[in-house]
Amino acid sequence: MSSGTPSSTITLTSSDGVDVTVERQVAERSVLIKNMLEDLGDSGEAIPVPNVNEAVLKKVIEWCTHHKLDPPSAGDDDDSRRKTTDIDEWDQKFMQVDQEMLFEIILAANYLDIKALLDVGCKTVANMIKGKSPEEIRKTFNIQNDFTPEEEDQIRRENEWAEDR
Amino acid sequence: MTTLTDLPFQILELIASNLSEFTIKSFSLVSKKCRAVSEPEIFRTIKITYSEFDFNMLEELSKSPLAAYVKILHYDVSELFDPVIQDWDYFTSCVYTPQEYAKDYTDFCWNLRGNGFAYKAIYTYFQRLIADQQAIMEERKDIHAFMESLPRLIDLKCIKLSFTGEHENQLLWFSNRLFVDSWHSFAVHFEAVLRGMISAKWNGLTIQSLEIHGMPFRSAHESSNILEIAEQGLALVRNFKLVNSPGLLDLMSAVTLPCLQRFEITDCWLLGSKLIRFLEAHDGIVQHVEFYRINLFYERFTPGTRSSSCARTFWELVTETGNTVKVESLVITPI
Repeated sequence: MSSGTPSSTITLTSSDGVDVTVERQVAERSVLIKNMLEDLGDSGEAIPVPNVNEAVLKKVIEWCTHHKLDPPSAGDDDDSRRKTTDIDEWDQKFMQVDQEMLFEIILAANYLDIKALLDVGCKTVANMIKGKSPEEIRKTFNIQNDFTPEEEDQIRRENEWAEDR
Repeated sequence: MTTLTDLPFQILELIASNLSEFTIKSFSLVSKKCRAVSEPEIFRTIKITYSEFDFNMLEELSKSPLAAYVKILHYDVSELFDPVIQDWDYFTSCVYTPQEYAKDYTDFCWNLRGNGFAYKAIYTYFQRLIADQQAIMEERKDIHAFMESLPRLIDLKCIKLSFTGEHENQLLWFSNRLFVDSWHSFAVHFEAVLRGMISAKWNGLTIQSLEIHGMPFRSAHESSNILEIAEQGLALVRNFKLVNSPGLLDLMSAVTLPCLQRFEITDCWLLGSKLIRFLEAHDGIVQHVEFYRINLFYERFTPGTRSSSCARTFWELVTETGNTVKVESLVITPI
């Protein structure tokens, strides 16, 4: 497979050493893998994905398979993209996982440079935070309050300076 | 096990950028890391009004590390009270007479359910408001706050001055007896902004964008003082936007903005000749002009050879019908 048209599948090796075969078009949703394939050529060798374990890698591939025909995502600094936490119905169901898996998917999307998946992950977390009090957010995500009461007062005062739009 | 606060800072920032203003303030109180992530979003825009409390707050904020996050300063102002209404005789004879009070009390007694205010209490209420306003005016605390603070907002990109008139007292039926005229009030607020911009410029900062909202009235006469300050304060402005503020076109035609690249005018009625005057004044300077939801009255006008290309293009595009024209959306990029 060293010449001619590129093969239609490639193999990815997860951090726990499991080989996962995936359609090339699906894998190329990841900018990191796309660039690696372009740089390395079509050697047919497995591509290591050292930061992502098998379970997470399979979830990421599931997402990429569903979205393989999506147009490439636009620039990520667009302000209009922000503040909308609307998520496609399929993606909402896809993200119905435990918190650890959710954060692992986000980390994998960041590492593999899959902007649209990263965006969906961040919006899912934003939706979990939406409308909650600080204490409720701490409870939801098991976060320790490391402020003193004086620091909390100071923050509340400073927050009044910002515009409520 | 990975938890939310184990995520890298830039991912937490991305999450924070998806939060509403209300939620992000709540999120910022969760932990020190959440706070650090939220601060740039929370303080991107700050809003102040014409009050001693807000001017003190602006100065305090400008001295804090949060100043580095401020990109937009929204100055939301209203009409100023006429100081003369502090005078008891004037108030009782020209602002709100005891007879008018008695009639209002009778008319609205059912709504008030016996909880109406005494006439003297109404007078005292306005007297206190005016005293607060006078305390700012006498020392021009507004100008002081802008001049002191703006140079410290090192990443400030835009000032939005909105003359919204959202003063609760403007809902009163006799409100037209309470305030000085709109242009005079606006000029006071505009001067404070301009002096702040001058101060920022002296300190090497460039505030690129100025937006003015809600100033439909034009001044009877432009004072040379405001023209001079505007010339200095707006010398570095590249983006200028007028929203429902055609009253400013005359002033801005007299003050050429030498760095102006983009001009946007939206949501207003205006005279074609005023617009042309502004475009002519910025011929060869402005590179992008946008019009949205404009209703234009125009007088007969024949572009001369000396007219700017922008003015000619505009005229070619809008002189199709009658004496008024509605411009929903139009962009001109003069060569």
